[in-house]
Amino acid sequence: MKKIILTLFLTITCFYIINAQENVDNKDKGEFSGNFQNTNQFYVNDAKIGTNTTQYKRELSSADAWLFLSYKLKGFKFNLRYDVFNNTPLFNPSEAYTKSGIGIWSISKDIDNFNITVGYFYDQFGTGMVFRAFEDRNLGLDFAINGIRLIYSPSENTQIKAFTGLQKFRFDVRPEVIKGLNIEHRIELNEDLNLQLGASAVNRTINQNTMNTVVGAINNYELKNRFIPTYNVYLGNIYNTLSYKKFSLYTEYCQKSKEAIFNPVLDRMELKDGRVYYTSLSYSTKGLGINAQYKKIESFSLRTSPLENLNLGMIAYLPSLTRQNTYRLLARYNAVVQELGENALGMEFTIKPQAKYFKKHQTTININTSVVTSSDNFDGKRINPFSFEQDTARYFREHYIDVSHKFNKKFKAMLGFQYINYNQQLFEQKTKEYEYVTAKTYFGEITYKLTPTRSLRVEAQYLETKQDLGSFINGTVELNIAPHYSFSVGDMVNVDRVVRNTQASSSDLVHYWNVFGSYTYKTTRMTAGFIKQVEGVNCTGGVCRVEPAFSGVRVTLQTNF
Amino acid sequence: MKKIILLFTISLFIFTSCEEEVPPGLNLTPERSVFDTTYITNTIPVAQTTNVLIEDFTGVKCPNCPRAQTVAKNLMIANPNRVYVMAIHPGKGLLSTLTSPFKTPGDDHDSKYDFRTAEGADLLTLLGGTSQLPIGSINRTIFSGETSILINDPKWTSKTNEKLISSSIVNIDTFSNKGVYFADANKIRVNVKITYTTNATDSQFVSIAIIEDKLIDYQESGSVVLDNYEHNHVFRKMITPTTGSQLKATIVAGRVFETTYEYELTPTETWNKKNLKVVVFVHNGTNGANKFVVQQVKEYEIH
Repeated sequence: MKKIILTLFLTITCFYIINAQENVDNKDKGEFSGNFQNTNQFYVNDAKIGTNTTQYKRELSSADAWLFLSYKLKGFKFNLRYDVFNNTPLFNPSEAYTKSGIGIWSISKDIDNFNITVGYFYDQFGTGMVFRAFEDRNLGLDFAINGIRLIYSPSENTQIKAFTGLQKFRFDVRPEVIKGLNIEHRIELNEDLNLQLGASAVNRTINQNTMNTVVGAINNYELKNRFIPTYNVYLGNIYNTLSYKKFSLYTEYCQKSKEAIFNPVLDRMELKDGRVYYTSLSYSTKGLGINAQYKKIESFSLRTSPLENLNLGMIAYLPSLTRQNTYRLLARYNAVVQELGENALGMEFTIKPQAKYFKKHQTTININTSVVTSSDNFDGKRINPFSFEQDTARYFREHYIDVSHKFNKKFKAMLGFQYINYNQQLFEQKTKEYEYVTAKTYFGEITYKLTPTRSLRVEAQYLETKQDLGSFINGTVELNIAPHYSFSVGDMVNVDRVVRNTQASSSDLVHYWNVFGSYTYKTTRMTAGFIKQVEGVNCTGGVCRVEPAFSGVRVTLQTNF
Repeated sequence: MKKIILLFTISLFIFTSCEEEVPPGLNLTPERSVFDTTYITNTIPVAQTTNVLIEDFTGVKCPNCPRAQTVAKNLMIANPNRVYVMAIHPGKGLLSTLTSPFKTPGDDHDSKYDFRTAEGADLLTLLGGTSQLPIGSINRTIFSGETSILINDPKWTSKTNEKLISSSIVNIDTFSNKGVYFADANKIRVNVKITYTTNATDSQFVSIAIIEDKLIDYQESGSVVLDNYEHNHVFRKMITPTTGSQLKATIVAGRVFETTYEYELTPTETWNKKNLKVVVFVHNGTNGANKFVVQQVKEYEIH
């Protein structure tokens, strides 16, 4: 089937390219575009940092590549993506997965106010909390839906979406049927006040084979823990963005019917319904931006089946409202969204002092604070920003501040501090010997423009903790030669090391150094580096995975055309 | 055109509010085992040859079902004490037209019995489901070249012979002097001993069913209705859950399970006790490529 699709796509593409060449006067030649991404890794074993996956012992290298092609013509759009995975740890860090083929394909057409898509598509309803079909290549996630989708736009302010299909799993699809309907409508009451309303309904049906396995598992539970599982689960949400002058208030409520969900704490399934409350208030004026968010989750896990866990088969996407950090040590501890239950509160302030001196020097202060607790422990004690006791019910807390200042045309600097509380046992499924983490990180960055095309950037962080692997220092020096080149060297050193299950002696300093270079030409970027990466949690927007340590060479290529 | 597409869109996504049926095989009642123990023996017995269980899904209004029953009967005769049959009369949905009893008041064809059971319907669903009869499974195996556990009766003979030449990974016996017997007027007691002679990686389950022979009633056959057809091996009841009871221990050579199951006939189960038998079979769990595969089967008369 996939070969037929590939042949069909290439035939259509070739036909239109040839046709376009022969009829140069033809105004509608269509539009051809695409992109290519490739990552190659060569593994160099380093027992000191704990590299121990199969690639270090057997395969020694891996490659991933995606070639995406898109052709638009007369309201039609043809998409095709060819995926290559050779010995990749991307889907499962302890596995070397090898397969190539058509990853996704789709054909869509605009007919009046309708858009019809068949094949694979990505989409989401609202924030994605009841349905999100998305891809994240860094995390090895691809939740495209293979089916049919219709979008109807009766007016500029109204859109209705509906789909039915199966979720992609590697080069196959999962057997559970997913259906969804979403309506969004914008009401502009006056110049200052407008509403953007939305509502969705989603249904997932598990097949008999899956149900047989679920039943087999339930039959093994103690009698008091057995229940009647359901084939169907229904989700609905309503949401609204109210904008008034400089304020914006977003509210969303999601409800889910009862279904079997797996509780890792109890190590068994339970029959539970679920809900999410989410609100966000933002205010923006000259020199000041404020954003406050609150979210409460109660047993809101939706996967293709109750047999899937972690990052597998995700249909509902629960976004994190904790800060997304980019610096290496600041991003070491992340709050994985707890779909079985959590309360989360986050506030962010961006301050640009309006005094003449600060405006001239583009001084900016960013402050962020967030706290995540278990669902029934959201009280004054847990959210008190000045309570520093180690409390496992306070799953995560972050206090963050940075101040940046441009001293002159050539020199700018930034300094900051981050305080973290982190329940490592919960987030990383660690054993009890891993204590609750308290970490303080001091960080800074300076950029100096050597010439109009050359600049030097130096960043440094010191993470201080007595838990997990202990304290770290990280430093990077980067030389940028515009518009093509960038080079950097860096080292992250595990100082005050906590020794746990490692062959190295406690007196050894562990270095996670890296050397990196990149070349950019128009829309093409190539990078190469020798990297040593610490074991940890890699997150994007609340979806995370525990990644093993990495040591080796990484070469990447990315281009758009 | 717009209206057609809109109506089509809505029709795709209408969510039904109908109540779902309970999934087949779900067991919400206590286990019927009154004694169980497991241990590892150093004296591993000689492996028994693999017997065959034919689960024959059949119906009294199914004109071709007697043909399938003849195939099964011939296999039993050709392989005494090696081939066992359960004639299962499912009875839901489309199949009701083939399995429901002749019950027309005043009609010549007024069935004495209703052989249909909810558990029989569950078993059919678990093994893949079908809308046609006769159909059956041979040790619940998906054979080479087949896509389903359930296969048509012309294939039963070759597939049964294929199974009969292998050794089983597990022996089924009874323990205590009495084995399988009536503990009192209505209570069936089954003392089953399961001994593994080889390691197994698939999860292992035991299922125990009650069947009844020599039931004389109507049966459609070809274009006629037979008045005095003898229905044998009629599936009556599962003592274990329809998915089986899991053998909860690491399965290694020498692993022994000894379990006593009890089942008390209810007042409505007015079966002829002389013609009742018990079928014990050990099989894989509901997961994996070899799910449900029967490893060994034995049939016992009830003393």
